[in-house]
Amino acid sequence: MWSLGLAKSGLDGFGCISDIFSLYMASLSAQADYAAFEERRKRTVYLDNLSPQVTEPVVRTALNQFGNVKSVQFIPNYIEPRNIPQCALVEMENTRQAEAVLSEISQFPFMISGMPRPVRARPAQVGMFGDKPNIPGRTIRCCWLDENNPNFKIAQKTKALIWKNAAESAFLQKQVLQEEEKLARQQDETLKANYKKFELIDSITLNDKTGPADKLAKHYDLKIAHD
Amino acid sequence: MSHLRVTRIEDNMKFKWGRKKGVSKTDERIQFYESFTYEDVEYFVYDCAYIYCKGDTETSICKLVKMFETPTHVKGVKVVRFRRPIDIRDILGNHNPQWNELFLASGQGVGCRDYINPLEVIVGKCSVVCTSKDERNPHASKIELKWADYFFYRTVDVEKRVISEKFNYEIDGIKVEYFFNKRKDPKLISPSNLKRNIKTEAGRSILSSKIDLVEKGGGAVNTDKSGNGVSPVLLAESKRAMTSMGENRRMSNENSTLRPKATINKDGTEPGQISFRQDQDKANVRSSDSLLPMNESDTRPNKKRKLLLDGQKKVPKKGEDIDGKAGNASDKMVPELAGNKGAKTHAQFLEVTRRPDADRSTWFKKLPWDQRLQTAEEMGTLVLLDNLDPSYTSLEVEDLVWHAFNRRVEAKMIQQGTFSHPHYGKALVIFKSKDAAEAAISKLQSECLILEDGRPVVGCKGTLTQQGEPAKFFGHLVLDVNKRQRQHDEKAQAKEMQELRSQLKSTEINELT
Repeated sequence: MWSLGLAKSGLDGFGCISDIFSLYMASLSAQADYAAFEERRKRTVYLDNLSPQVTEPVVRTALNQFGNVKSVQFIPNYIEPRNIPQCALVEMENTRQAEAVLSEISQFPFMISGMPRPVRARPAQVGMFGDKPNIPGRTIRCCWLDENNPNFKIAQKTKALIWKNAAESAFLQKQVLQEEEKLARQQDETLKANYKKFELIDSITLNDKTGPADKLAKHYDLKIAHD
Repeated sequence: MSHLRVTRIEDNMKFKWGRKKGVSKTDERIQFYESFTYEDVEYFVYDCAYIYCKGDTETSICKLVKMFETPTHVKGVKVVRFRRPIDIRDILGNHNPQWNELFLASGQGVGCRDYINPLEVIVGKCSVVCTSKDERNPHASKIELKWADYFFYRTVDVEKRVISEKFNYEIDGIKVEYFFNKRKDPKLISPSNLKRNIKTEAGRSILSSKIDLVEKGGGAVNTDKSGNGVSPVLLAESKRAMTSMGENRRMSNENSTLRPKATINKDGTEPGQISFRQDQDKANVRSSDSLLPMNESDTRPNKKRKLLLDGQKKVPKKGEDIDGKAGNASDKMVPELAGNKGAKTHAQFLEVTRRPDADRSTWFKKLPWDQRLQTAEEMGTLVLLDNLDPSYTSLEVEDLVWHAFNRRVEAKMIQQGTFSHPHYGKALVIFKSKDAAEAAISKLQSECLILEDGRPVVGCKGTLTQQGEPAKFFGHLVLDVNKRQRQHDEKAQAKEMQELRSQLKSTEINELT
């Protein structure tokens, strides 16, 4: 094709041909870029329910048992409420390792940095990447509808629906967070109560033999064993 | 056969056998049938259905492989079950099935054979598509897949506990071909059959929705005497949506060849109606307009919008209709569409290309994005765009804004997380000035920016998550044991120090300090 271009260049002018050629090359490289991105996506795992204290080295050490972690990228939270768990994209060395991570984490509760709340793993989706390339060959089209257009009302209704949807999901999200908090508080209380009980039991059998248990034993002339 | 029982309920239910198929080889008094009608639904042999057996926690999905009546008038069905992933979770291992994936039970043992059930276990129809790449399996089209409730391409041997993609020649004595998708049966497209199908189809969809509305609305009001405040229009509409969906579902079950065409028919006729009525009288326009958004909210908004927007493009498709009746109907509508609506409706789509001087933005080094966002929020130049295609890149959004608003902006798509909607993309856009940002928001509100696939873009003032105190993470419980331990240790240390001090002489202390 190139030789054809050279031969023709004498007639059509070199500029035109080289333009077409560079366009062709650009589309080729865009396709290659996208293919590479797809490959990367396939070996990437999306981790969710991470504690805010979890950092990159923590994730690395946690997942290195399944293979080699190539990169860890936390997804920044710009507009969601503050208290949602952290999430991250973890790129493994190959697809097989990513699958291993997925299957292990979905089958067993997996904790990172000692958090009793197990993390979740999902295959990464295109939309999760901040640095995704353009889909090759796609052109975006848009148009403005004004009031005279027959579809204007429909579009307005759809917009209203989108707002409603957004409000509803925000509300649900708030509810979920509140429920989580409530549950956490409940568990916290139980934990504290249990801890208090254990302390109480501990305190009656002090090691220096001055606790109430020892005194009672002395009183009733019984022997108790200390461990 | 022990659990075959005749119940009284059956007598009250609308039940009718269809064509006879033959008699049992072992007992000539057992009569097999090809189909039956049960509670107004017609079931054929090899249809899929939900069944519910007493004692089960959930319904199961199965293929009806035999329908029969015994001499004692016990009606029964023999079924082969599909297993849901949850039923076989201990066999699953590394397989990660999708939520709507099923596994065909094969082999001997519970979960495949011995399921001869009284007929009343059937709860309803279910559409299951086979996506197996097996050459014996007729390939399922995308539309079929979209409409199907479930799909399967693997079998699970309940006895050997193995999942396999291979299909044996026979499963439970039934040729495997019957488990695959139905072959396009020429018998089904015979003219008489078609006409019948189309008639019901058209009867539902072409029937003027106004009349529909009055009838159904009236009915709804009458029946709904409790008056719980539901507007009749809404009720009627939801009913309509339901029937049309049910219709589609039914079609998909009945035969796979007809359905795609029928959908085109439906889609084709609806925009046509609108244009027709718009021309007839204004009052109707209002009713049809108020109806349409309801349609929007049903399962395929984008598709319909697309149809409406470039109605012209779709017109030739209608010509493909084989059936005379529907063809006539659409023929009538074509001129209406092309003549009156075409010029008005056909939206002028603007092609978004690369911004002319896009590279200039890289000339100067900039502050990190987070900081720029912060300042933009303070300045009021931050706009949040919603309902974009999630596959758009940040650059594409910048170009889109350039073409739509003629403003040079910086934009970043928001990376999707757990709480973001998988089908809407959001982007944060920083405008150059507050006025520009506000103008853009108000323009988005008063007019509609439509993307190619028909989704309107919405925008609002961007507000960022409040930074500040560290985020709470529920699910992590901390005991302040360490704190107490530390206090304890500190006390002990202090004690030791005091003892030490008392031992030391004052001069030495001075030296130490």
